[in-house]
Formats: sequence, C-alpha cells, structure tokens
Amino acid sequence: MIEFEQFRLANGLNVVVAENKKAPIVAFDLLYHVGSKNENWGRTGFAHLFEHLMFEGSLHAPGKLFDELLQNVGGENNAYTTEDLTNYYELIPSHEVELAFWLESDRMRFLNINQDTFENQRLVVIEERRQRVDNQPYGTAMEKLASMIYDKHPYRWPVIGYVDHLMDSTLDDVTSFYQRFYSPDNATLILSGDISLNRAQDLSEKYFGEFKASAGIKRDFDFDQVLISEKRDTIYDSVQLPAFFMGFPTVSETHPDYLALDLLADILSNGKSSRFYQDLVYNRRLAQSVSAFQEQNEHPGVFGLYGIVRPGVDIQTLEDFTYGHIGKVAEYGVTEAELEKVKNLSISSVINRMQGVANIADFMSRYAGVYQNPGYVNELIQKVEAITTSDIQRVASTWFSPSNRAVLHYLPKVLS
Amino acid sequence: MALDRSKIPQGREPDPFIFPQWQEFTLINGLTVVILPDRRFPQISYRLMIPSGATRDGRQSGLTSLTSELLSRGTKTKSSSEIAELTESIGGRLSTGSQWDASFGFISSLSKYKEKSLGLLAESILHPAFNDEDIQFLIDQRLNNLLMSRDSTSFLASFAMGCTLFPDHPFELPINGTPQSLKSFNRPAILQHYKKWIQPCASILIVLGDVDPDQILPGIEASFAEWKPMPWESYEFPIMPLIKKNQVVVVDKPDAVQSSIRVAHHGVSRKNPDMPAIIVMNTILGGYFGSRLNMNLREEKGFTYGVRSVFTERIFPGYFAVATDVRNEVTGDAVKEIFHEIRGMQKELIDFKTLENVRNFLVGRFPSDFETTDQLSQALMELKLYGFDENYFSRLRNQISRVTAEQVLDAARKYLNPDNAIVVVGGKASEVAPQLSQFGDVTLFESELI
Repeated sequence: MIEFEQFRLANGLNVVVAENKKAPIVAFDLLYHVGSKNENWGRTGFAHLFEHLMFEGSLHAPGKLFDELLQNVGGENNAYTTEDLTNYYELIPSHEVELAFWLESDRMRFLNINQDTFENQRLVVIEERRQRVDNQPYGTAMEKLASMIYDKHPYRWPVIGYVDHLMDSTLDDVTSFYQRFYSPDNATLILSGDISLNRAQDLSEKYFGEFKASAGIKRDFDFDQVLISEKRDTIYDSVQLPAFFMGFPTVSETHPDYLALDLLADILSNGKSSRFYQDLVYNRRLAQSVSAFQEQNEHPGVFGLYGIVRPGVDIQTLEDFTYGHIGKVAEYGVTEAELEKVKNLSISSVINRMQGVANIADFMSRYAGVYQNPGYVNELIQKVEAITTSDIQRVASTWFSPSNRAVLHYLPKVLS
Repeated sequence: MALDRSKIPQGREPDPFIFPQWQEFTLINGLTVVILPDRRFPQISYRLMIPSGATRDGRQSGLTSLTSELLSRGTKTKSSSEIAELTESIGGRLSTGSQWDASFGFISSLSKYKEKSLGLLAESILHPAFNDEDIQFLIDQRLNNLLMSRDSTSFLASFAMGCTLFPDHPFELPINGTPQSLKSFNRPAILQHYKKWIQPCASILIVLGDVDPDQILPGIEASFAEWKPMPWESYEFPIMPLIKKNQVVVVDKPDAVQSSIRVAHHGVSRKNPDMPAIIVMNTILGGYFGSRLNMNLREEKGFTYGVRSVFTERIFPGYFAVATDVRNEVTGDAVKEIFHEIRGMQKELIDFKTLENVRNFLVGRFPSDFETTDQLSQALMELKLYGFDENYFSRLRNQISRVTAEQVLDAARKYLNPDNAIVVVGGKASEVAPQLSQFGDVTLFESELI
C-alpha cells in the first residue's frame, strides 16, 4: 500500500506526493502526456527526439548545466518516451530537492535549443536506433508487425521513428511541438520519498505556479478498423535461427478484459512452469524461446506471440503449436491452481515495483499522468485477485482468430 | 511579481548519512547468515553466495556456470518441472548461476510461503539431481544462444577481446562456455565440479523481507545443517599474458550498420588500494553521462548513443575497456578520439571544478545506492567476497571525497596503458578495417570457437 496526497495548481499541474522518510532522497518524476501517438506521419520519432533536446539547455540553465548541477549533488536523471507519454525523472538527495524544481520548471517554460544541438541530438538518436533496432537480430520485428496491424492509428510506427523522418524534422517543429504539448496542464509531477506535503506545495507553487495553462491540448488521431483478414509476410534477415512474430489487435489498459489478457499471457509464458516453456521449449524441444505478452497502452494495443525455433525445426510447426495453445485455453479453460499461480507471480511483481522511492514514483507516474488516478497502484492487487478462470477462457475465445492477426516470419538470409 | 529564476537554489544542510546495520550468525558448517527484516511488504527473498566462480573453470570454459545453473533444475526427489511449478505457485522465482568470483542461488516468494521457499532453495543447493536429460537440455540451449550471438557485433567484439587480452588464461572465454567446451561436459564432470566448489564454508546467505529473525533462524539452521564443509582447494591464478604493443583485431560481420568498439588493456584487482582514485579517474574519463568520452563522442560529435569506460571489479585483475557502438563510417575517428581522451587523462592535472563535480556526484549517490534492502544485500555480498570489513563503504565514501587532482593523475599514469592496448571492432570489416591500420597491425579475428 502506497500512501499519497494529490493536489492541483490553478494552471492545471497535477502533483502527487508519496512521502517516505526511510532514506534522505526524493524521486522527482515529471510526466508529460505526450508520446509517439501524438506525432504525424512524416515526423515519426519526434516525441522521443524532443525528449533528448530537453537536456540541451534552457534560458537560466544553459548548455549542459542541467546535468552538471544534478551530478554535482549526487543526483541521477534520465527520461523515457513511449507511445503515450514522456517521463523525465531525477533521483536526488532530499536537501537538494529545490534544485530539481528549478531545473524542471525552467525547461518546461524556457527551453532554448539551437541548430547545432538539434542536429547533434538527431545524430545521437539515429545511432540509438541503429544500436537498438537496425543492428540487432530480429530488431525490426515489432515495428514491422505494428505496421501490419494498424492501418491509420499512430501505433503503427515505432517510438524511435524512421531515419528519413528524423532527418526531415526542423527547429520549427521543435518550437511548435513544445508549445503544443509542454504546458503545466499536460503534466503531472510525482514526488516520492523524503519530502512533506507542505514543502511539496510550497515548491510546486513557487516554481510552476506562475506558468499559464495551455488553451487546451488538441489530440487528433484516427482510430482503426479491426483487421478483417489475416496478413502475412516473410523477412529475410541476418539471423541464425528462424522466428515467427504474431500479433492480434486487442484492448487498451482501461478495458475490462485487459488484466485477464495479461494473466492469459502469464499462463502461457511467464516462468519455467508456464505452458509454453513446459510444452514447446522443454518437452517437445521445438522452440529456443517462446513468449506471449499483452501490450499496456492507452489506446487498444496488441497481444503478441513470438517464438524462435530450434535448429532443424520447421517454423510453421512451431507457429501452429504456439497458436494452438490459445485454442486449448478457449476450449478447455485453465485450472484454478494455474490461475492462482500467475496471480501470485503478478502480485509479487506489483510488490517489487513498490520498493524504493524511484520505483514507486515510476509505478505511479503512468496512472497519475495518463488517467489522473495514482491510487490505481493500490487497487491493482485486488483487481488481479478478482479475475476468474472463466474470465481467462472468455478472453481466449473472444480476441483471437486467424482472420484477426498479422504474422511475420524471419528467415536467415542466404548470402550469395 | 515573477520569480527571479537567475539564481540557482542552494541546498539545505545534508542529513548525515548513516550506513544501515545488520546482524550476522555463523552456522557450524561455516555458512554465514544475515537477516535484514523489512516488514513493509509481504515478500521474502533468500540470496546465497558461494565464493567460487567461473575462474575455477580451468580449461573447461562454462563448467562452473553450467553446474550452478543446473542446481535449479531438479533435485533427487523433484523433477525440474516440479521445482518450477512449486516455486512459481508461491509467487516465486528460483535462479542459480555464476559470475567470475562467485556462484549464486536466489529464491523469492510471498512471505506467507517463507518456509516453502527456504526449503526449495536448500534442497536445490544440497541435493541437485544433475540428471542427463536436463544437462543435455541446458547445453543445447546454450549452444543455440551462442549460435544466435553470431549476429551481435557486441558479442563478437567482447569475445574477441577476451581471446586477445587473455590467451590461455581463465578470462579468455565467456562464463557461459563455447560450443567446443559445452559439448564435452557430462554428468561425472559436473558432479565432480559440484562436490569440489559448492561449499558452505565462507558462503553467505542473506534473508530479506517480511521476517522475524528469531523465528526464521532455526529453520535456516535445520535446512542447511546437512551441508558438510570440506576444506577449499587452494587456487592459484595464472599470470597474465603480456601485451607488448598495440594490436587491432576486427571480427567481420559483413552486413553490420554499426561497429562495436572495445579499446582495452589489462586492469586491476577489486582489492587494489588505489581504488578510490581509480574510481574518480575512471568516472571522469568514461564512468558517467558527463564524462569526457561521452561529452566528446556523443554530445559533440554525435558518433554514438553512448560510450562508457570500465575497470572490471574482480578479485583477480581483469581488464580496463572503453566500449561503444558507432556507425561504420566514423569507426576510425571514434577510436582516435578514445585514445585522445585516455592520453589526455595522463597528460595534466584535471581542473578543480571537474574534480569537485565528480567527487560530489560519487559521494552524493551513496544514500540512493543503499536505499533498499536489496541494494544492501548486494553490498554485503561484496564485503564478504572481497574480505572487506563492515566500515568499508563509509571509508570508501570518505576517501572518494578527499581524492586530489594529483592522485587522479597518478592513477591515470599508473593504470591506463594506451601504448599496450588492443582495439577490437565487431563490424563490417571491408569498410572499417582500412580506417583502423593507423592504430596498429590489423588482424582479422577467426576462431573455431564461435
């Protein structure tokens, strides 16, 4: 159980305080409700590129001062961007917490980027893409799968973006993106650790209180039709073992079926006693590894299956056996003991996310920043407990059919 | 009136940093037990560290880690599937494995199952099955993982670095073994290795979480009582082979779009008395975001997403390495800048502002590095493994806060060795090899081991 208080400034900045005096440190997370789904085709990757630029200087903390000042007090800081949000965070000794307010407020309102730093960070991001995607075996699989599943929705492109779009972006794009999304009413501040509610109120008001709210954030995107027929593709890549990737459009994380789908993925592939591991990896020796997951997204996400075949095994055999497990759950259900097991694993992972002030802030940030509901972290265990075996069977028969999926095969490319 | 934002806020007085305390018990067989209660969450974990790691492989690369991994794959009375089922049913994770200096066993569970999880860990460590089917299964898994690693430039570079820096030496080959060595292991070899190197004496068990020490201790004593101590076999670490001049090694991956670079030479022991100065020196060079290497290669030149330098922390001297991934066409330029920054550290005293910034950064991190019981247990294992006393971390913090510019320069001159270094690049040889001949004779790495 995480105890917390919540208040909102007149300009709309939402502030959550989870005081905890165990160690003299504070985790300071400032989450903006903007991610790659707020980008337009032609500028993919921009939300994440923008996150990089936020470290490149503001009016009162120019150049590299942001990092230097935080390092100088033993603070750590970083940020990440997803499809739905961008989260900037500091972990800082509590006696220096005011510095985080000063720095974060300055870059919320007074970001100061020039052409050189813009071009430099664009190169850095392209190297990040090469390192994580283009130079990795199967590295492009998830973005290719998403582009097959989504037709119009921005989830069809990757958060890191495409190189040609990054190269097309300009300093003007930076200004308009900043004005559109970086305002107090589109942000949530989560403070976890050694800071009192009073001090949090004083410092929030002092540093963020004078900023004006935006005129309203415009969010436009096209929702998709569901897939009406199967899509398949084969990629010849620099890989040693063939692999398949399969995706089904399912639900958002606020949908009533979300947790049941998440637990279904656990029953299939979480741990060495899971159905996939026992049947496909250990007993039949078809797969080197095989996995199931439900994406956690604000808009309807994907339920994914993927498997890497063992040498000498036919990829279609592994694909069929893997997909067959969903049919088995739909037809015969799961046992009470099996469900109890994945509930215990799920509860353990919730508890793990509540240890340490940085984990707590990160755990709360998504629910506070996207849904204005930080207390959801305390309801999660109960919601998991409430799922029944018939829920699992029902979602397995509702969301999966061969006509509602995209399938990719990665095969070793034959060097001529 | 608008806030005057031109003034940087001054911090308040820091709270004193007090290191967490703990209680230790030693069982008759020499196993040390430390219990760190944290009653906020209904969870418990047990971490066991055995001070014999992959350096004990001898010429059988991968044997130690395979033996320890097999400990969680079934016991004399429970199959590997049963062990997995029993562990995961209680919300638990069981894992066993090895690093260079030690082997580990870990189990966690919801605290209402604290006796069950303790029992599962003890049974796994004391009564492993080592059955042939599971041995073959794990060997096959590793062989396939090695096969897949051929497509990772980073793996290729690290592999070639080990072979080049440490020929005929325990650090030559990866902890997980090679196709050749893995295929040679069988049950008798594994059993023999287990009997020799999985010992209670000088091992440590750390219990974390929702637990009452008085209540759990008798159970721990009973669970591990059968673990009989044997005298440790003495272990001599071979002398390091010499690197007489700079060498360049390229591992070819013809379709790579980035080069994985390692600039490396022999390193220092974790027990080196100059460690505070080495830590400060390495942090300035490549140990944090604001380091000289990162500012140069990433923030100025845009060659890379990131670059780090590291001294391995092992009982026996390992390596110093700068590691990064850069696009093919700037591979030579990046290596040049890496040498430039290494030599720069040896040339002159660093300015006071940088020194102070880095000392503050390192010292200021201590409270967050020891916040959770999990972090504390890692620190405790380090103390035991390297034979440090209980005040080691407080002392290290004080020593770091007093490191001088002269000590940093001395450490750079003594422990950085750019004239006896190797440059290893995993990448597209036809494009990058010509860029690298300026740094030494270029050899194309070929090995039957990958």
